[in-house]
Amino acid sequence: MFNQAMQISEHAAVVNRLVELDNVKDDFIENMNHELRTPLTSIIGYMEMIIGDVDSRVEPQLASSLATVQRNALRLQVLIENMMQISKTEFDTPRLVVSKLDVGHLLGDVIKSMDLVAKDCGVEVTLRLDSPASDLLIDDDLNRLGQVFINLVSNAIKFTPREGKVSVVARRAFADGDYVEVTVTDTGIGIPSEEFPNMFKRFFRASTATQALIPGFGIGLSLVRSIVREHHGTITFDSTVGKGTVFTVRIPVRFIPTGPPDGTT
Amino acid sequence: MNDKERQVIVVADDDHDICKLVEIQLSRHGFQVFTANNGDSALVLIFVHRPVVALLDIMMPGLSGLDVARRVRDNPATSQTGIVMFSARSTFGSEADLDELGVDDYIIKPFSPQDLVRRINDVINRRRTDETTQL
Repeated sequence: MFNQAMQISEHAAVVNRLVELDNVKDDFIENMNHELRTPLTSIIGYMEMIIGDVDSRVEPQLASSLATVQRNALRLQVLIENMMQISKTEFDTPRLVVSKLDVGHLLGDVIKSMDLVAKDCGVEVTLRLDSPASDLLIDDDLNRLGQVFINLVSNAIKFTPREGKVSVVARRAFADGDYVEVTVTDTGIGIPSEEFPNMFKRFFRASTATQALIPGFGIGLSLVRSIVREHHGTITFDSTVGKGTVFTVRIPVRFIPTGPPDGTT
Repeated sequence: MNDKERQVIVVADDDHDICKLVEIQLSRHGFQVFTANNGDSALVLIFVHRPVVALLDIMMPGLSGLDVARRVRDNPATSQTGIVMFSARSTFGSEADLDELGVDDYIIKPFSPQDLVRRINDVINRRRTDETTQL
């Protein structure tokens, strides 16, 4: 009896210690997040203002150099967002603070935020809404779906050679339920079909990307799939090497707050 | 002097570089900007200058952005001030707090200065529309 009580007491002490360590971990991640974002705010903000002041016709080299700095700062921003989201996806319980998301508006903002990057890369990015904007409203858990489209569009730009195109199309669809479907199509370097099964694995990078020396960590798509699954959505893709890739995301219009995600990809 | 030139914004952030960035950007778009580097000073500026919008960092020495927002809402003279919170954290703490305080918008750093101006103008226009509706 005494031994059993001792064991329970020791067990409780271990649990308390683990909870304590988990809180330390959360504080560390949140503090790192704050410390990284604060200087990046100044870099991105001042750079945007300076770029707006430079006449690229008069000083094309300076304009190009500034665009390069900005492109890299934005890459850093996406990386920080991804790292934060991954830590939350892995360690936190699912959050259910659901709000209505205007997908058309969001996609417009995403593409606008990457306008300078796309121009610097010589890639044309277009958006088309095949349904009225009022039909493209979906439930979004804590504004996390934005991260899905930021990753897909920035990847498409990154993996598309100069003079290539990226087209983003959104529509409401009812074929197998009621959902909003977004496709991101690029004319980029493509993915070898034998690597398709690995594309959503963390840190996996397509051989076409590594051969072309395109930088990255291989965490974006893994994160995208996690967020899509949390919203009970699906993500699929098709690709041909040298021709391009199309990603299709389908998110149910209404969030399902109970039961596990179906995990379909 | 047009209408916008008379509009006052109070900006509070303990990071001086970000404060200056926002001041430059908003001044360029015709706003009169007063800046503070802590919550207590921000509250004084808001009570003195009666801004159309107060842009408040959540984490500041002394009073936090949420503390400032609460006191602004509690004072009848400033209760209708537009409040925009910004933060370098990925969350803004309790969503219930933001709702309860009637925060008009919140922005996660880093942000685009152009986007910031657009969102502040949206807040001003929404508040103006609400006032017109109530008349």
